[in-house]
Amino acid sequence: MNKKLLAMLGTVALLSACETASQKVVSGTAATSSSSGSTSGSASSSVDKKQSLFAQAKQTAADKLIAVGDRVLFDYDSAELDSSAKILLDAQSRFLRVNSDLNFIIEGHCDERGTREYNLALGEQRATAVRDYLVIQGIDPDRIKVISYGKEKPAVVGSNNMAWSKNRRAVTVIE
Amino acid sequence: MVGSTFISIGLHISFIIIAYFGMPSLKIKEPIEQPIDIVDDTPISSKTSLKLGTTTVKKENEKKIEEVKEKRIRKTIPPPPPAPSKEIIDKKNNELKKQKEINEIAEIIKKKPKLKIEKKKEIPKVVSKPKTLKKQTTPKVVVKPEKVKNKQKENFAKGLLNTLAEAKIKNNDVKKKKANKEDLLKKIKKMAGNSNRQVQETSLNISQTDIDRISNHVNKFFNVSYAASEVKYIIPLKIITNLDGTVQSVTIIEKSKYMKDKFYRAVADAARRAVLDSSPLPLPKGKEKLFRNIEFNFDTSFVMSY
Amino acid sequence: MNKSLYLLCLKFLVLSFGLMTFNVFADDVKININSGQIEPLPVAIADFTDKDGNSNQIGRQISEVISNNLVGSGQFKAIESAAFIAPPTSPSVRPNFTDWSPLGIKALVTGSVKNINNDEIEIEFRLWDVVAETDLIGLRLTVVSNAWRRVAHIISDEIFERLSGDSGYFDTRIVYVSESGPQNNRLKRLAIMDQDGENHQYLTDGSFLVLTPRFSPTSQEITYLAYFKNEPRVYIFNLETGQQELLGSFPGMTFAPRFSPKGDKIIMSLAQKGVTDIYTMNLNNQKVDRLTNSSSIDTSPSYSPDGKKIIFNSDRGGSQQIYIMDSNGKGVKRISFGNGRYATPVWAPKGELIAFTKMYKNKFYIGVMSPDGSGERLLAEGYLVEGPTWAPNGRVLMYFKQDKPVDDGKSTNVNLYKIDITGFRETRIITPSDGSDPAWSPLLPN
Repeated sequence: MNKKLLAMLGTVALLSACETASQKVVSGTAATSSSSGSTSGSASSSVDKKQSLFAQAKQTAADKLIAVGDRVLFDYDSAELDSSAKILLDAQSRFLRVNSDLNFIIEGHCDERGTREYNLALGEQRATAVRDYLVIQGIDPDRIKVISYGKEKPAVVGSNNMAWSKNRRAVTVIE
Repeated sequence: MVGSTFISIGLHISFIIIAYFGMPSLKIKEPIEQPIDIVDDTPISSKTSLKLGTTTVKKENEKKIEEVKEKRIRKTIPPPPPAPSKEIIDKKNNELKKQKEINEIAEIIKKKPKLKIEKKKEIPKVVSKPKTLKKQTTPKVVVKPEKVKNKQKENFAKGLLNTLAEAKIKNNDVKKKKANKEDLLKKIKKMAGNSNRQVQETSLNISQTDIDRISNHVNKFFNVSYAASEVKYIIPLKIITNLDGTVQSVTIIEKSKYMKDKFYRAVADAARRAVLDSSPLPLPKGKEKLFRNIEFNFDTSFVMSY
Repeated sequence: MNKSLYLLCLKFLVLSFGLMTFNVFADDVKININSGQIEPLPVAIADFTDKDGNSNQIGRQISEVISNNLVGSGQFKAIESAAFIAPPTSPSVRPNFTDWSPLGIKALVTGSVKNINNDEIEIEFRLWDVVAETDLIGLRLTVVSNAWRRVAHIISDEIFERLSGDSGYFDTRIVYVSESGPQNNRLKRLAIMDQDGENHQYLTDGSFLVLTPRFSPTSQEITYLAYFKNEPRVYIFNLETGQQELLGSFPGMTFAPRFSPKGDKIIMSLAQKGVTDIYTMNLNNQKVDRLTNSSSIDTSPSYSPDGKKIIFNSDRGGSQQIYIMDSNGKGVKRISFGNGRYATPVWAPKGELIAFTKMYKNKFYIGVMSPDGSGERLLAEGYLVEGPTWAPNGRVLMYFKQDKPVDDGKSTNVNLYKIDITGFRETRIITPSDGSDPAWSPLLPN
């Protein structure tokens, strides 16, 4: 646990050197908090710093997750994981194991070529399929929640096979 | 003496039975003088079984339609009514053809005296009978029933032949069929069984054409909504006409259905509007008196239910 | 003896003869009318007058609402007010029918609006049959002055019912989801309006996703799915108090809610562990019953009007189809057997039909069929049409339609539409922005 924290701080330190955007957010917050009161100034800024560090860490983890592979795709009207999905989820499970202090939500989605309520159910099936697979890989089920958005939140706007195939997905996000 | 008492009783009973089933409401007999404004004042005459018989449950569609058809006046085949010149010419041609046919067939009959023309002693159907009697009481009737059997037979045959020939001519015009004498004889035999009071002068019958003309005229004005498919009954309306065909009064007969059933009510109103809008009715010339009292039976079966 | 017998027979014959003659004079000619037209009925709605017999602004507004309602139903044709050749008359006065009949008008409505007290108005109307020259119905209502619109709708319903037999659907409201924004980040808000689009109000602010609202048949409440605090659950919203309440506490997503015909239960789906089943919850005692127990998706349940049967959407047979079962969950039977997939079954208010969404060969359809699956008729079609809801008189359906996008990436239009049960008169409902998931209220209680 300590090692991890050190590693995290290390990466944060490295990133902060070039992450000007995030620094702006951080400094902005620091500035406002310091102007709010002198007595609490130093204390709040350290809390903020921790928060911002945590936010940054989370952001990093999220990016990493994306890099590892945060989503699997499905066939039309199906919640079955094909072999490529499983390979991706194997990698994902390793990430989850490494980031054991984080909890996750799996979002199930559908394309627009279906009715609203049935798609909500199908999304839940897809998310559950991923969750079940990850649990089999040894991830603690309490760390994984499931939510369905049906066809409400397409990833790709469009009415063609490419868009639709990309929308039939289950995405793992950090809670 | 005992026997005659029984016969007397029997006759009285059968008279009572006939009276009960044959006697219509007295109210119908008198033409009701009513201005068009007042349409709802006539009380229902609910006593006649004839009336009740016309409104039947829609579920048995075919049965209902057939029952109504039976109450419709049965048709003899009439000659066409006086019409514009073009038709008169055609008519004249038909008449000539007719006479020729009649003469041919009359000869056949003379040769074969054994035609089995049965005289029915029972009183035939109420519906058809009044017509023939009516004919006899109006001054324009040419032939009266003869006492002498043979003469009656011959005249009867001629009358049938007239109508039969008419039908034949129509067939010829349309289908160009050649007359088969044997077919004619068969037809005569067939028709002879129906009524023994057919008279050959038929111009004062109500014909199917007359009825169809009026019906086709009125249904142009009958406008309903799709909800009319919910009406399970035929809606009878009683109409009194003037000689010029204008509608003197309209009465919705089934008051209780009108009060209780909102679909019936809406369609009955539409029926009433149809009758009033269709005034004057195209009554056949010369027969206007026959159409003094009309009962329109509005049937909404044509409306598809959704 | 023979002579007397002979006389008797003669008397009998003569009397019978006389009877028949009697019949002759009394018989009606019977004529059947077996066909007719099914056309919009021409009506005139005269401006409602004030107590002095003059038309005023509110009088004109009332007659306009009535006219729009009747014409919008497709069953009536209205003559423009400017074409009136007679000034409007008060409802207690018999109109001069000869003024109206030449225009082909078959029914006329006259009415009055009178101020009584400070805030109340008395509205009276009379429906006349111009052809038969008689009055058909009349009514007088006293309401607060700002309820004049509702009175106009109530009057429209009375007129509609008197002239067609069907009850009307004008005194009703529509609850729906108002949509805006880009397709991958849609803003969705619950909204409510009168069936003619007036009195539009938002019920939620769009900060959480809301879907599929439905009206209670007995109270001023709606049930819907909301992603409140990121947990999708069924809620009940009280229209009178504006309060939202979570329905029960379930371990997974609850959705697709509907009220039971008596308004005492909510029937819905619960999705957990990859399985979606149908549950009911009694609103009085919070008792929960599970109705289906399959390893498939069972959703979109809808009660029959008598509460004895439930139709629902299931893929237990391999594809999305419509099934029927008893209200206790027993006797499950499939009822959709046509080509394609079926969804969103909704039972009609009179029980004789069910409406559904159908998907076949890349097209969507709205259709109806009998509850045994026979007599399927498709009424509307589109790139995406979905979610039929019944007007309370069972003669009109509302649904939403999404057009095929012209350019990929551009947001498409999603709008509410209504259509007659005959398949005619598909009409778009105008809303402030896009709309979906409409639900028709029952006739409002007086």
